[in-house]
Amino acid sequence: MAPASALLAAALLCAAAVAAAAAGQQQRVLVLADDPAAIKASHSKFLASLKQRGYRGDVKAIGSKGLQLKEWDDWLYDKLVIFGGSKALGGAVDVEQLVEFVDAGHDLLLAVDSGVSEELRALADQLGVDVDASGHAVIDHFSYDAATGAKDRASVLASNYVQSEAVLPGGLKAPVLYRGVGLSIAPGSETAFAALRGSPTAYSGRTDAAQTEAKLAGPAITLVALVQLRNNARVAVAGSVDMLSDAAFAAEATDRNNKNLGRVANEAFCSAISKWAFQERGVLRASNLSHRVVSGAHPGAVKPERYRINDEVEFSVEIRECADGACKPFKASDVQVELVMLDPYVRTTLSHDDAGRFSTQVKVPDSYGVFKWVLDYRRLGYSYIELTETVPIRPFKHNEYERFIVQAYPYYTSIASMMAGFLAVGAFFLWTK
Amino acid sequence: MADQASAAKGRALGNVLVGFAMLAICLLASSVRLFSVIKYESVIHEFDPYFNYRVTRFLSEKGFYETWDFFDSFTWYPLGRVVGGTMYPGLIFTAGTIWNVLQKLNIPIHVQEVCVFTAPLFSAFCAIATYLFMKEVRGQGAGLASAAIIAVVPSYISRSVAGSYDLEAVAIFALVFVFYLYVKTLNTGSLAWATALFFGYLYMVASWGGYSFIANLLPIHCLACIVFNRVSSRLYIAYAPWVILGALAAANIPVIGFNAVLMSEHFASFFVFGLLHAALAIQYIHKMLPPRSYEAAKRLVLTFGTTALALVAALVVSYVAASPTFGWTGRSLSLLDPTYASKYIPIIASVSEHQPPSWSSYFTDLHIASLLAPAGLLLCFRPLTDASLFLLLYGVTAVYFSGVMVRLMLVLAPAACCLAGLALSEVTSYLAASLAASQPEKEDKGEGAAGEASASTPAKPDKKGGKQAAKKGGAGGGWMAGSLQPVPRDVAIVGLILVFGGMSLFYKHSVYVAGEMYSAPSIVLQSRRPDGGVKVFDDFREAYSWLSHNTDPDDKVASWWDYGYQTTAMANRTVIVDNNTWNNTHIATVGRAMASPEKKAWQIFRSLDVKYVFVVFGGYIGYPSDDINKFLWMVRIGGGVFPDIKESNYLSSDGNYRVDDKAGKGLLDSLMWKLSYYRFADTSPMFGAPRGYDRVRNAVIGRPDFQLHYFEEVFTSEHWMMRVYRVLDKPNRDNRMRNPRRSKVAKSAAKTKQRKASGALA
Repeated sequence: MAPASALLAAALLCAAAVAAAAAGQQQRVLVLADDPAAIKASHSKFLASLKQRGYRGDVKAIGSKGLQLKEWDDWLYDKLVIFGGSKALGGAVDVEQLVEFVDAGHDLLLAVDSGVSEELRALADQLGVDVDASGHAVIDHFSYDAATGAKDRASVLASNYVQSEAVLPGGLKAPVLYRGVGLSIAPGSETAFAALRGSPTAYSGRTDAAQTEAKLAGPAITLVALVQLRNNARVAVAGSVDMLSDAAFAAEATDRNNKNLGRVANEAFCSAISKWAFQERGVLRASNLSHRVVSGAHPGAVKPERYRINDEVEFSVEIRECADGACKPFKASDVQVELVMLDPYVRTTLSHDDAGRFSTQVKVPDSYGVFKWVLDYRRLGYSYIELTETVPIRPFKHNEYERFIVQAYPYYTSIASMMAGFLAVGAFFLWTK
Repeated sequence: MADQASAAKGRALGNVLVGFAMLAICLLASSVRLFSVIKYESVIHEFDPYFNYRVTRFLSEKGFYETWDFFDSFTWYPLGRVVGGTMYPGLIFTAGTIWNVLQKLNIPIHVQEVCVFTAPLFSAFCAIATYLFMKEVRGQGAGLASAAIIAVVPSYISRSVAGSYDLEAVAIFALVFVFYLYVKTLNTGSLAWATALFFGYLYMVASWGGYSFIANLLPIHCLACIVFNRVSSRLYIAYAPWVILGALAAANIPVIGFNAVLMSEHFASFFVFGLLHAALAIQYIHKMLPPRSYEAAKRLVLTFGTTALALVAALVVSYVAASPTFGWTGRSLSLLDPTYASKYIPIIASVSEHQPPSWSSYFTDLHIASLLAPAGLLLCFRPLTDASLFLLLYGVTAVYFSGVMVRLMLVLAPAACCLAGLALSEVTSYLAASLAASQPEKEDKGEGAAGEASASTPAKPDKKGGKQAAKKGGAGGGWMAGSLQPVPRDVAIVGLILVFGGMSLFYKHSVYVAGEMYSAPSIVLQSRRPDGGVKVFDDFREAYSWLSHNTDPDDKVASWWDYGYQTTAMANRTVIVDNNTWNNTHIATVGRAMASPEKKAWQIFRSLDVKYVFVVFGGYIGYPSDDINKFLWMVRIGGGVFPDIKESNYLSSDGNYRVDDKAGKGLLDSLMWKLSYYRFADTSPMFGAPRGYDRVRNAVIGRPDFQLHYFEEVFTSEHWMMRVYRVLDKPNRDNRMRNPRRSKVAKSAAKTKQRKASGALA
C-alpha cells in the first residue's frame, strides 16, 4: 500500500510538475487537515477562492503516512495551508521540516484551534506566535455574537484590525466573527504583528469555569497573527479554524441586544489575510541599485570602485510594489538611505519620480574609509528591503591637490626672492675682486 | 725609484687581495642566510614581511604611483588604511625596482622570489658598506675585519635571512651606508660627498623609522666636536647641509611629513645646527677682533644671548609641555624611558620584540663581538679622530638603546661589529708586526700570513685634508710600533692562534645559529621526531588557504591583530585589525569582543560585518604562542579603552592566569575560551592524558563542555592550531519569545509553584 501510494504520489507529482510547467506560474499549494473530506465540505468557499486565484494542489490528511513536502532537495509545494487539529503530523513531515519550509522562503497559513496538537503549537512557537493554553478560548461578554455564542460568549465579534494598506486595503466594513483560541506575540518580536486583536473587553479563559483573573486580555490577545520572517517568507497564524469556514463566511452578526449587524466580514478578511500571506499583497521589489559620481574625481562614473572624499554622488534604486498580480511603482516618502562606516555619516530621504525610481544626491563625507550604502526599509505589512553596497572612499592622491594655493603666496615670494638674492650674491662674489 | 715601484706593486697586490676578500665576505654573508630556503622553502616569513610582500605585489601589478597613493580597503575594515601614507616605502620600492629590472632583462621571476632574496642581497651590501665605513674610520684592515664580522653576526642574521622581508633587511645597510657617507664627507670635506650623504639619508628615511637614530646621532657627534674644539669646515660641510636637506628629505616621505619639523626627535639636529653656526661665528670673530674688543663683545653677546636663549627655551618648553607625550612619539618615548610603554601603552608592551633583552641574548646575538667591542671602544681613543669619535658615540648610544628593546639589538650589531673589527684588526696587525719584527728577513711571508691585517698598515696616500692623513698615517702599526714594544715571536704566534681560534668559534656559532635558530619562517613549524625525521606543522597556511577557497571574497575575517597581515596576504580577505597598530581603539574593540561572553562578542562582530573569526590554539600540540597565552594582552588592550573589561575577572582568585578549574570567571565565559576549547575535551591529543588536557598550560581545562550558540565551527586545521568559526546570521525567525502575559495551564502553574517551594526549602 505504502509503496503504491508513493508511486502514485510520484506519478501525480510528475503530472503536477508538467501541469505547473504548462500553466506557467501556477503555484502549488498543499492543504492539510485532520479530515480532508470534512474540510472540503466546510471550507469549500475558501478552497475555491484559492483555486480561483491560480493555486493548484490538493487537500491531504495531516496524519497521512505518505505525506511529503520535499523530495530530495526539491520542495513539492510553494504554499502550505494547515487547518490544525489534534492529529499528529504524518509521513516525512515534522515541525523541523515545516520550519525548514518557511526558512527556505515558502509561505504558510496556519489555522489552529483550542485543541491543537503539541506539534503545531511548537510550530507556531518556532514562528514567534504563542498559542494560548489548551482548553482556553477567547471570551467576550460584551461584544459577542448572540446567534452562535449566546451561551458561552466565545463567538466574539472582533473589529480591532490592523491599519495597513498593504494587508487590508480599505479596511473592513463589518466585524469578524471569531471563535477560537487566543494567540499572543511577544512584545520584542520584530517579525510578527497582529492582523486582528481582541476588543478591550475580550479575555482568554475557559468557557466552563468562572474566572476572576485573566492574564491574556484585551488587545493583547491576538486573534490572527501575521509573521514576516527575515527572509521575507510570510506566515499567517489564525487562532480559529472556524473563521475560514463557509458558515462563518455566510454568517450574519447579531450583537448582544439581538440587533442584526449584517453580514460579517470574514470572507473579505480571510481573503486579505491569505493574499498577504501568499505574497499577493504588500510585496516590494527593489532593483537596479545604482550610484554614480556627479562631480569629483571621475564625474559620470557609474558604480565606481571608489569615491574620493567630498565627491558629489547620486544614489538611486527602483522600487515597485506588487499587489494582486501586478507591479506598479511604489510611492512612499519615507524611504531612507544611509552611508555608513561604523556610524551613519549621511542619512537622507530618497525622493521618487512617480515611476518607481528613488534617488538622492549627496556629498560623500570628508573622511576616508570603507563606506557602504545601506537601504533598510521595514514597514508594517510590506516586505523588507535590505540593500547594501560597499564603496570605499579614498583620500586625495598626492597629485590631486591644488598645485598653488593662495595662502602660500608669501612663501612662494620668499623662496623666489631668496633664490634671486643668492644668485645676486653669488654673481657678486664670483665676478668682483 | 725601485722602492716606490715595489711599494706601488705591494699596494696593488693588497687591493686585489682586499677585493677578493670582500667578494668572499659578500658571498658568505648572502649564503649563510639561505638556510631558511634550504631547510624550509622559499616563503615569506613571520608577520610584517607579509604586508611588505603584499604591497610589493601590488606595486608589481599597479606601478609606483599607485603604490604611493595606495588606499587599502582590505585592512582595518571599515576604516581602511592609507598604506602609501603610513608605510616606509624604501624596502618595497627597492624590491619593486629589482623586480622591474629583472623583467626588463627578460628574467621571468615571481615577485615573491625577489622579496625572499632581498634580505640576503642587502646583507652583502651591508658588508661592503661596513668595509667602506671602517676604512674611513681607521683603514682597510679594520674595514675588512668589520665586514668579516658583520657578514655573519647572528643579531643581523636574525632579521635578514632569506624570506625575512622586513624593513630592517635594507635599513641596516642604509644605516651603515649613511654613516660611511657622513664620515667620508667629514674626512674629505667635499660637497659632492655631502650630496651623496643627502641621497643616502633619503634612502634611509624612506626605509625605516630607525632613521631618527641617525637624526640624533649626527647632532650628538657634532655637539661633541664643538665641545672638544674640533670644529672645522669639514664638519660644517658634513653636518649643515645634512640638517636642512635631511629634514626636507624626511618631510617628503608621507609617513613622516611634518613630523620632520614638529616632533621632538628632530629637534636636536636643528638645535646643534644653531650651535654650530654660533661656534663658527665665535671662531671667526675671535680671529678678526683684537683680544680686548673680543672680551667686550663676548660680554655683550652673553648678556643678550642668555636672555634670547631663555626666551627660546621657554617657548620650546611650553610647546613641548602642551603635548601630552611632550612632543615625542610613544615608541621614541619608550626608548628614553624604558618603563614608559609598559605603563601607558599596552600595545607596544605586548610585542615581544619591544621587551628588554636578556643578558644571554647579547652573547647569542653578538658572540665574540661583545667581547671585542669594549677593546674597540678603547682603541677609538688612540688616536681620537673625528671619525673614530663618531664610531665611539655610535657604539655607546647603540649599547644603551639595545638595552631598552630587543629589536634594537639590530642597531647595536653594526656598532659592535665595527668596534670588534677595529680591535681585531689592531690586535692582529700588532701581532703580525711583532712577528715581522722578530724575523725581518721573512717580511713577505709574514704579510701573506697576516693577510687582511697587513693591508691596514699602509696609510692612504691619496688622502685629502693633510692633518687628518698625517694622523691616520700614524694609525696602523704606527702607534703600536711607537708606543709598544713588539712581543716575542712565540707570544705573537700564540696570540695569533688565539685570535683565529676565537674567530673560528664565532663563525661556527654564527652558522649554527643561522641554521637552527633564526631560519624558521614561523608560519611553518618543524619538530624533530624521535627517529630523527622532521614533522612539519603547516596549519597556518592550511587555514589561510581554506579561507581563500571557501569564503566569499568580500567576507571580513576577524582575528587578533598578529595574524592580520598574513590573512590579507595569504587568504586575501578583509581583516579588521592587523600588525600595523595604528588605531588602538579598533584593536581594543577586537580585544573586547574576544574577552566578552559569546552573545556580546557576536554583537560586536556583527556590528563590524565580520563573517569569520579564527583563533590560534596550541593546546592540542603544545604550540606556546597561541591566543590563550596572548589573551591577557587582549584583555589589557581592550580594558584600556573599554573599562567594562577588567583584568582581575580573567585571573584566578589568587591572581594567577590559569586555565584549570580555578580559572577566572571572565576567562571561562570569554569568547576566546569558547573558540579555543570548543570540542577540545572530546579529542585525545596525548595518549594517557586526562580528558581536556592542555599541553601548553599543562592543565586540565576548567570548563570542557559547552555549546556555541552564535558561532559555528567551520574549519579546524590538522593540528588544531587554527580554528575558524563562522559568525551566525541573525536568526530568520524571532522564535520562542514567549509572551509574559500568556495564560498558564493550570497543571504547569502548579508545577512551577511546587518548584518554587522546593527551591525555597533548599
